Amino acid sequence: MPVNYFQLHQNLEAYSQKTSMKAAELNTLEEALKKAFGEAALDTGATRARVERAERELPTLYCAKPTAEPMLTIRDAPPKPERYTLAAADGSQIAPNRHRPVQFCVINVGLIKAHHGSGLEPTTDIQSELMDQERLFTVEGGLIGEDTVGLQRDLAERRALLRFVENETGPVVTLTDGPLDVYQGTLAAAERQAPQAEVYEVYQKMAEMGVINAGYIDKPGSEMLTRMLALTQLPEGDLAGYDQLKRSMAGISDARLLKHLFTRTGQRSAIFEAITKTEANRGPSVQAHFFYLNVEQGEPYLARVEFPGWVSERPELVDLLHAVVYAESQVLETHPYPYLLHRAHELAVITFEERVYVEDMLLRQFDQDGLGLGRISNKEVTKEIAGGRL
Amino acid sequence: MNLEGQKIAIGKLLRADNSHFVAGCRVRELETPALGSLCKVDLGENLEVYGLITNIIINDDGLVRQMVSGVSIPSEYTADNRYNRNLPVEIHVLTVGYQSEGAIHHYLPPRPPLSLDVLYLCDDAQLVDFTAHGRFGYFRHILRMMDSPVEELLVCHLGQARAAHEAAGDTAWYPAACKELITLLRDDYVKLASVLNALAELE
Repeated sequence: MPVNYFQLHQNLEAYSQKTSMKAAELNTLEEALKKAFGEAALDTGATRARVERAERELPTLYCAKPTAEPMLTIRDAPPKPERYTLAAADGSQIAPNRHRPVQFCVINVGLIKAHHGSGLEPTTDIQSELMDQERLFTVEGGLIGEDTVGLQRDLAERRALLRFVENETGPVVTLTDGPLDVYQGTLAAAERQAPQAEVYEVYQKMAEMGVINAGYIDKPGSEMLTRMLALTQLPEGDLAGYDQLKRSMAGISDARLLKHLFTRTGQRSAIFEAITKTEANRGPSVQAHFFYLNVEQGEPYLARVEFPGWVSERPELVDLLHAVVYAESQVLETHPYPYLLHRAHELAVITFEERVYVEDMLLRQFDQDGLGLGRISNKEVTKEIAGGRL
Repeated sequence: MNLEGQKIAIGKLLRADNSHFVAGCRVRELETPALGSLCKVDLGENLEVYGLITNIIINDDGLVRQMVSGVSIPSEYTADNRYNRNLPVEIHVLTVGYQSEGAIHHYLPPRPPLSLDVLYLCDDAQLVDFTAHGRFGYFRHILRMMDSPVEELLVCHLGQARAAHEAAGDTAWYPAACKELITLLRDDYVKLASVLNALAELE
């Protein structure tokens, strides 16, 4: 028996009771936060000024900042243009594994581009990179981990997307899954600065081309608005001593906080700026703005759409992005999610069989070149035999 | 006998046994094959297996099923699913004979085609040559089919073969084929009535 169900069963009741208590606690907090949000919305300028002061005074800050739009703004989806280009990229990877006979890393990026209004099938591409041998190891000599590979994957997605749309004309929107900024995980500042700078450069080029690059976050759990409200609730003199790790108002996501404002599918929230100030983040940053988008009929289901700050300065581009992302999410109407993002994922994903095949290709090359072949670890062999793969 | 004409590839073999085989093709290649069409697979060594298309199956997957329930699907995404995604159309073929060393036979081949062998559509000359050979011996393979609409297959096949024969100046082939079917089905009145009823559509 893989799981001791009897043991788990004994804990179910207590687990459920604790969940119920936590839910009640969060419901109370949610009401308080809704009230605080309403109050903060009365003077958007003052709320913005408070966040800006915190930006200046605090060494690190992660929260939302209101833009010129009133915080309680709710806008219906505008009609989408007849002709536009939408491109999406998604990445997957084979991370190096010391238990395998050969250590290697592959980053795969799936790309898809549709010319809406053309009636033609989208163009697809897959970019596969075998990471250079010297990049497989950390400065300490160990194999790089999932975080580094994730960062490189995100960077590869953005680079590939830029090349994929560089000759496009007319309105162009690109989509990636997740926030605009690249995956950082627990990486040290030194390791993530260069990739972040390159992503910033890619986004700058896209901005020069007039390409609207957006990140789509499904079922967002972030609490950027809650964090912003924590700042507005502080007494004036306490701002400098604010520690965002010790905030008492935690556990209510932005999506949960805003959900009650939405009455129809397709509506978006006000635009906010994402403030992500860290001690290490001293270089140019992406300056993401975002809105929440209700993609479902009936009970609201919010996704977060992130885009560069320059887009929010042009309302017609915000409308274009709003219309395009909403229409895109409705193609898969029963479980709304941007169709092209799903397709990019489908193109990018590396199956177990493909991983084995790539490894075999490398082993054959090594053998041909007279290199000594490494061996698979006994632990890995045992797992594969048990899993029926050997 | 000339069975070498212009070759139109319509798919590649997925699986086969001696009496049936299934080929896969992309939607773009689906314009030429039709129910009842005669097709063949070249097995090499002067051996070609002939078959009639008995069914064409359009496969689905989770994404297609999800899209079906959508209110409005952009035409670009319909095209994406048809032309870009890896969902082969399945062409089911009933083996009806083979050609070996230039001689046509209306019985089952010594071995089935292999996976990834190419399936070709027969042209009119090949259709005339195959169907004119012998005395309609390949009909027994069709009439033996259990879970397929035999009448519909006969109507499609005989319609195509009749047109090819008549274009070649042979107006006697179709009446002879009908006469042979009546003979073969003389002990199965229900099926005979059903076949004749279907063939009436060709008149």
